[in-house]
Amino acid sequence: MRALSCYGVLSVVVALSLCKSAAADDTAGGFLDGFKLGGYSSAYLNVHPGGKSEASLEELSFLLRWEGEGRWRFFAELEQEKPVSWKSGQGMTNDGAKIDLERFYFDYNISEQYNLRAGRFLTPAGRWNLIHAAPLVWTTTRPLATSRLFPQSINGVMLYGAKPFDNRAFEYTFFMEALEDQHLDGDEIQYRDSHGARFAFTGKLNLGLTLMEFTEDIPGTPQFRMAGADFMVKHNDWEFSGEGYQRYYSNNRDGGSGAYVQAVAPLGNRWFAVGRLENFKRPAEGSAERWVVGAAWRMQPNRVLKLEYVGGDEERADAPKGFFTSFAILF
Amino acid sequence: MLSRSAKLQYRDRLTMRVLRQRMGVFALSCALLLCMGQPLAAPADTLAVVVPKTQGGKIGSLVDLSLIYWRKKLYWSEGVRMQPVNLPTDSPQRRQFSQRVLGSLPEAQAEYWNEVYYHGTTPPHVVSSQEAVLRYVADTPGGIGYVDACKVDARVKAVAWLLGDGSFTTSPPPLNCSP
Repeated sequence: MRALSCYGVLSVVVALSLCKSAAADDTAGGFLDGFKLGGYSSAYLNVHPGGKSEASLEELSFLLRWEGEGRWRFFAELEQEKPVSWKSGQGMTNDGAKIDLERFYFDYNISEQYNLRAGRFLTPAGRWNLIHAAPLVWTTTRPLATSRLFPQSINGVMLYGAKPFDNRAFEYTFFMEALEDQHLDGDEIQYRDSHGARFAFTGKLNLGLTLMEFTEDIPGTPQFRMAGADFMVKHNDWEFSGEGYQRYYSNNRDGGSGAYVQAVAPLGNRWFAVGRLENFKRPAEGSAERWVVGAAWRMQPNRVLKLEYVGGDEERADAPKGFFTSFAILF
Repeated sequence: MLSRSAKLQYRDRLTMRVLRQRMGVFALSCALLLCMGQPLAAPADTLAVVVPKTQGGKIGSLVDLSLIYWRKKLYWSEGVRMQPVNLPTDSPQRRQFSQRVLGSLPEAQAEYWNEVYYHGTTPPHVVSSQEAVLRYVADTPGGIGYVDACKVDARVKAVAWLLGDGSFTTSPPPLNCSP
């Protein structure tokens, strides 16, 4: 792990030395001028209902992109997860620290409305999974329905594009796994044979439909089919969003489901109130229902401080409860 | 007499029904709140959408233009990368363009641009004046920008217009440009 960390840090240093900042001038130049580097980071604190607490520098992620004059583009995200954490009664530790290659892909523009992507990318299922970075979402906690019902990333190929439709844009994505995940986190679920499609109408009201098939890599586990729907609408700083998923085994038995609805209301001075209701049901894990109330202060467009309380069913390792606060920055 | 598992199933069904009802009420409340407030009115000058003189491809509709400025459409038909350019956020032309084409003012778009940036795409380049837009577009392959229609000159080609009444056209409109 230490060797891996060293390679990760070294690669970041090399990338930093090669690249200009993301805010730098965009005008064309040589091959190296096509690289841009950015990233994000967040720190959080959770006080559990029983009084125990934990805190961590949650992640330090680097985003590296390259685009030249032609039809090719490249993008990668390298994440240092939990470089430092603290638990009441245990003190500081870096046991949970690891380097993760979150995304690594090449894009090729075939024509105006068709693009091909190959590599490791976030599964285009719903909205949250695609924008799950701490500075982009309103809460510290993530809805369970968006993390434990389908693979969060896929190594494979994707065909995608957008075209005008009526007064809105129609966006499509077809994707297929080509290589099974080679490395998993402790409680991560292994998936294989994932493929599917996502269709979305975007505009003032954003509506999405996700259809997927995949297998959980557990002996004897049949294939799942999953249908999901999502929406998001914003108006005068109000935001309403939601996602819902239903999975079926290939013999049509219920294979789990989950949903959430979330509302964001402006309070003034860049403060926002946030509320969310969610439920989740997974075979062999039972069901969970949670609610979240909190506030977020977007002090700058790229910085957010979040405060929230999560209540609901009994606390589980993958569904923590209590008071959460976090600070996230995109750079 | 119900068995323990039947009782548990009944309790689960009941809980799910209650949760669905709560979610329904929540969604309805959200929809009602959405109806509050009205969009801002746009100012009324004709803007011309300009590209380099040698640039092929066309912009068929307002949605086409919005896809370019939302950075969802990145290439012209011949494979040249689109290089959209914006005016500063306080520019009247930028605000008019943003409201009409993108449906919101620039300050309301920060979260969207954060998301796009997270996926490796940068927002349109920003230059300080309409003259700078004309220079940028004239000198940049794949460039596209917008200026007051009366500012268009021979360095660029106008391919679409946003009229004062908010309509979009690809035919040159009559202009009343004072010298």
